[in-house]
Amino acid sequence: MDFSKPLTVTISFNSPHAVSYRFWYKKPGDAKYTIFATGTDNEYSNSSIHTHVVGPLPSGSELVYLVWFSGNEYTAYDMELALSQEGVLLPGYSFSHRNTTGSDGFAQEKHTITLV
Amino acid sequence: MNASILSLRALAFTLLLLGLASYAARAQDSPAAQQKTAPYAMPELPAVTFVGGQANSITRPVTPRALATELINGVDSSGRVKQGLAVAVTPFALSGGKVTLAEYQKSWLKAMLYNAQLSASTVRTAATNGATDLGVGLRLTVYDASDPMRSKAYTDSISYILLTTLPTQPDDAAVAAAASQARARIVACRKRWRKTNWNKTSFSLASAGGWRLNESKLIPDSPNRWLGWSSWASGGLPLFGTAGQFIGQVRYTNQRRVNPADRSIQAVNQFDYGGRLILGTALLNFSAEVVGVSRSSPLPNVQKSGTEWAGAIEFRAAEGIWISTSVGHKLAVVDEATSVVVFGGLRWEFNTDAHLKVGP
Repeated sequence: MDFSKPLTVTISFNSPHAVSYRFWYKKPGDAKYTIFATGTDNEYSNSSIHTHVVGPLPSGSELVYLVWFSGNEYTAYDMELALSQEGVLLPGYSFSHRNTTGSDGFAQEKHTITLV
Repeated sequence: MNASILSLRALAFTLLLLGLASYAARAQDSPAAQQKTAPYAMPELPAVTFVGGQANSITRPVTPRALATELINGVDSSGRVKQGLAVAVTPFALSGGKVTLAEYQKSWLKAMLYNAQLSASTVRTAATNGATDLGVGLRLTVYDASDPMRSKAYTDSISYILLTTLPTQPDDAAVAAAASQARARIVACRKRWRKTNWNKTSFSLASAGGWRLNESKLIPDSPNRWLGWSSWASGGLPLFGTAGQFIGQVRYTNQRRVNPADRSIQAVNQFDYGGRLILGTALLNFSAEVVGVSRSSPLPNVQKSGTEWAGAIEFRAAEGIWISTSVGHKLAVVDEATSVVVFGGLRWEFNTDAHLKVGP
């Protein structure tokens, strides 16, 4: 990872759920997280893939992503998130989450990535 | 003023009398008689329904690894299948299939593939050799226009709710509070949507089969393990806009049963059918249902065929008070030559909520 260059975050959804998400970052020494992207699954023509750019961020920075899914009860959801720089995927920074919604059709994925 | 008080007293007296009549009628009803004539819903897990198990704790693995773990955990160290298991998987998602929300809304085929569900269940049997019944089933929701996720207007509303409820900071407390608020708003939104879409056209199919495992062991194979199979088809049609619905269901079962007379095993073919009509307004609800059964080779003391019907009507007497009455006739054909007609009772009762709710 080149900490002098911005990061591209790509998130995609592969299941029939209404989705909203928010990304935050926090640089070392920051007291609070800063929002850098918010979205839903119905913003673009290709509504299942979303790309956001952040940074450059120094080493030790944290990225947090929170994703909410809403669909039918006990249905399987599927999402992928990857970090890249200048079009090249960063090894070790690809994440896949597959699980099922609960009895009310709701599910949440919240994860923190530390940039090192 | 006095006239109003007298009217209220007359109403209260009438309600009391009818309430006593209802109590008396209920006291004479057996628990079975108080149950509705037949279940109309497609079985949630056909495998569980087939073996007669309980679906209290269902595991739903979504990856091959998670499924493998479940299967391994379902067998103990001596090779015996554990009893009381219920597993449901969606083969499409399990195999890595992807379908976006837009595709799901545009293609009924993709919706059907995504919702296809395989289930497996084990249940302890009454046999003395520690036998376990293992059932495997498949359920297909071929078409369901009352699925809210197929409505773009609905999912846009949900996306908006989610978007506008996201927390500003990602700490656990803020996220939990926001999620709780989002869930409550989604429940309210879904309830509103269902009010006008509850009775849309739907059609589902299901099938299940099963085996009896002596000493609960999968291996070695033994004769007469096959229990048989059962298939269901169920469909719903809207009536009069959002005021009513007709639901029809058929089920065919070919199952091996033990003849208690000579302990021989024989195949029982059974065809169940039913139809239910429900109509409702803000002040008056009506329902009627007919169910029947036909058996090709019934066991001793089991009827070859029979049909019964029931009807109910209720009206709102005042805010929060519903007066309902039901009547049922049972026509049972003991054999081909004799018909017996049993007239059911007439029952009045009062409820704080409508029994024959139209919609969810």
